[in-house]
Amino acid sequence: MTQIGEVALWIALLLSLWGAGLGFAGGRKGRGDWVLSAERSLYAVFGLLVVSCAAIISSFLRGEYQYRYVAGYSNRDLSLFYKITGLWAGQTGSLVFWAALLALFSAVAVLQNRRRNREFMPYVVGTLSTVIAFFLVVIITASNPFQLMEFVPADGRGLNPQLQNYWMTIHPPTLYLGFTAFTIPFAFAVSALLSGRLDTRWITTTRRWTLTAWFFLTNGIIFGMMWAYVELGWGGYWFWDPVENASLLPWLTGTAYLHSVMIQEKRGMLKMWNVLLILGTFLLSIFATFLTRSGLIESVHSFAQNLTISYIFLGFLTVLVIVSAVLVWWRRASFAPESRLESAVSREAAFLLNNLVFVAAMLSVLWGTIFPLVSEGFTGQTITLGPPFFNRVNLPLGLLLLALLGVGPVIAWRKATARNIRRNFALPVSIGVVTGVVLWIVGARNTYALLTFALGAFVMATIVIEFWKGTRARARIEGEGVAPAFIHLVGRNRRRYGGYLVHAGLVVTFMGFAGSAWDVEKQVAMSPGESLEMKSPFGHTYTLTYQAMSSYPATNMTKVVATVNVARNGERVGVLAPEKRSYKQREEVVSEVGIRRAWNEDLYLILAGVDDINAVVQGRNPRPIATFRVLINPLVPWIWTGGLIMSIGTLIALWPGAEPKNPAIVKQRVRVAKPSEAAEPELVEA
Amino acid sequence: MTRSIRLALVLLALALLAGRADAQHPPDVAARNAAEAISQLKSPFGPHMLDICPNEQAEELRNQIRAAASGGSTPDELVDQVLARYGKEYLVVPRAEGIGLWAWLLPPVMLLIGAVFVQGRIRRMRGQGSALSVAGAPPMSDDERAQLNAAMRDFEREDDEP
Repeated sequence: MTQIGEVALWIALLLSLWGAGLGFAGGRKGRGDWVLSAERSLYAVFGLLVVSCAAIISSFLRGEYQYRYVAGYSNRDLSLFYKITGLWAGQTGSLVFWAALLALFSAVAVLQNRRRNREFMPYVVGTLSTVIAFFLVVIITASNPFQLMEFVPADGRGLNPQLQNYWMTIHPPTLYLGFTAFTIPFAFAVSALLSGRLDTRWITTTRRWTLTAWFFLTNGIIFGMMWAYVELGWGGYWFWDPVENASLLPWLTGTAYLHSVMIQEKRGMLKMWNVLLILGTFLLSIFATFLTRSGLIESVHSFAQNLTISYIFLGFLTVLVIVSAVLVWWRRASFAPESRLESAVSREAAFLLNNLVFVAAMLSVLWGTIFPLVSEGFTGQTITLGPPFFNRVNLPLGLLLLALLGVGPVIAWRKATARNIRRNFALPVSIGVVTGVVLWIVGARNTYALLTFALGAFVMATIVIEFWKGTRARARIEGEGVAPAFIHLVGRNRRRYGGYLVHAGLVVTFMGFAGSAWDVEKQVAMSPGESLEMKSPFGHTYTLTYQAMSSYPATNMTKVVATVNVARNGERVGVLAPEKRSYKQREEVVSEVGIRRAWNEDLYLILAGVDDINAVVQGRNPRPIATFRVLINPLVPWIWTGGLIMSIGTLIALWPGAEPKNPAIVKQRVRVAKPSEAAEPELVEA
Repeated sequence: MTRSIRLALVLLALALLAGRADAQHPPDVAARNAAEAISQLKSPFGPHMLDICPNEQAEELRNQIRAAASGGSTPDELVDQVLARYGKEYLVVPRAEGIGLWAWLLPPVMLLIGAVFVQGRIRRMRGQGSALSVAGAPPMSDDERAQLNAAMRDFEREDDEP
């Protein structure tokens, strides 16, 4: 089986090169049979990569430690679950998995569009096959999962203990799904450039793909934050580590793209900008992979430095940048706008500002990430930029984005009049200001946190008002109750109201971030029976009583577990059990935190140290002195809730609907409101 | 801008200023100075920042910094002491001098250039493309504009799904 997997990789490479060649040549020569062959080769590549993935998983399950990859990331005692997820536990398997996901999305995109968007297909297939071929070249030449050891070890080295976590098993695949899904709009953009069809069609065709990519990338980032929070044991969730930043870069440009395409769809403007954004998003996802895999910049995600991979990725990136720039320059005359911007006070201008901030944030994160290389190049000294730098630079940009979340969806297209601004913004601005003042009165003093809550309240108010206006109008026209009117409103306008829900989720997430302004932390050494008191910023007091320490063997590890009783304002509310785990194969001791979650805060307990831990393991010291680090992290649960709301919003926007309506019919049945009703839009049935 | 919004904005500004003034006097200056110094340093004992590095030697270094802070050292002095012992590469918030100046300078400069670019684009876009009103046609009345806006809103609602 394993040998079949390796052969499958080679055949997949040959077929993807075949597909790339025939796709581009077929498009150029107008040979439909060549293009058809290229499409079929893409399906075959997907099948072959599935075989290859299955072979890797099989070698994990069968404990074939003669393979370097299997020996490096598993051992006999590793649970079945982690043996299966071993496919993406290390670099080599991850790249095969990445290529398989890309082939899957490519096959689905071709299957979907082979008839209705035939004219795009030659270059789409050619581009997708080229990207897959690139990954296969990397895998076969520099990172082969089927590479044999010089001897056959009796057991493997085991999986990195910090990767033996549920969130870590779903975080990488979700990120990969996001990165690879962005390849589809990229391929359509390249096809649009090559074929000269630069109207909005390539954008509407790939709208769902873009949203899908954004959905996975957002969730992948949030899952990574969850993993860091529960597994790394320092109480934080975002570290501004180069690898984390690498996933944020395409997210920022991808989000900018999601907004700017609306201007092209509605007004026929920003055509070149949209092409540049999607090209940039794809290039950044390749750059992210390069950063992650090359090991050029020191990261807590300790991937080994692999110079061969670095050179291959750098070469591919350079070629992509040059080809993209040449294509855009070649088609520059085709980007003329179809309408003009009527006012700088309009939704179009607000979206432009939003794009500016997103791109500025991306550039500042990129700059901070590569600064160690820049400083080393110019001065010979590596200067790493840490979280304080990124926070200082990005917090103002984040607040500006938060403000624009409230402005963009409400301000009028074309030109906002003073009356429009007053009518749409008076109440939300007042709510935002009142929120800020009230929080200050109750004792909140952190400027950034106060601004986050004030702006968040402003944005929430605009969203609620939008939902309320739409629901009320529908209820009145259709004679429906409020609940059915609300459901039908969202159901009939999924993209719009799903988008609002995403905005609401982002606001909740931002508020969760702002909660860190009130973090409380203590570190204390205690003997069994001793207690510690911690006052929450919400006013109540936690009492933590260290009860006992126990040790017992578990699958693949030995656990040392502290039992700590938790009382809130004197009333017992539960037990926390932070651990130290000693993994057999890796000889590493890893902390597992204990978390008590409430709707508004987490009580986060780390077993920082145990006095003579060996004596505890051997049963000679059942009552050791233990050092605990205790944190109260206000509003952290809001970050995950916000992420969930964003996911639901994106799914609503993505949910398949009816076929496009005939614009002529829509036009006829639009009811023009009487001037007196203009303030409240009416709903119409088409 | 209505009077109530103006009043509310003034109130918020005052509240924020008061908040900043109040934030200058935290109860535990030594702990704050130590935390500030630690947050500016990378751990010499691993790839993490010093404040979260799980290494035991990192914990020892943190305790030394806290002890020095209790002795009255300022954050800059605490940072300098660590850098003198381990090297300048462990500072993760570069000082605004030499190459470090560029770290701070480039993001706002890029934002400024971007803002100027966007402003230029807006100016150009206002002069490009087809105008809505035909030259010589009478300007739209308020009623017509309201009707058009309502129709556009309705169209937007319908123009939702692909």
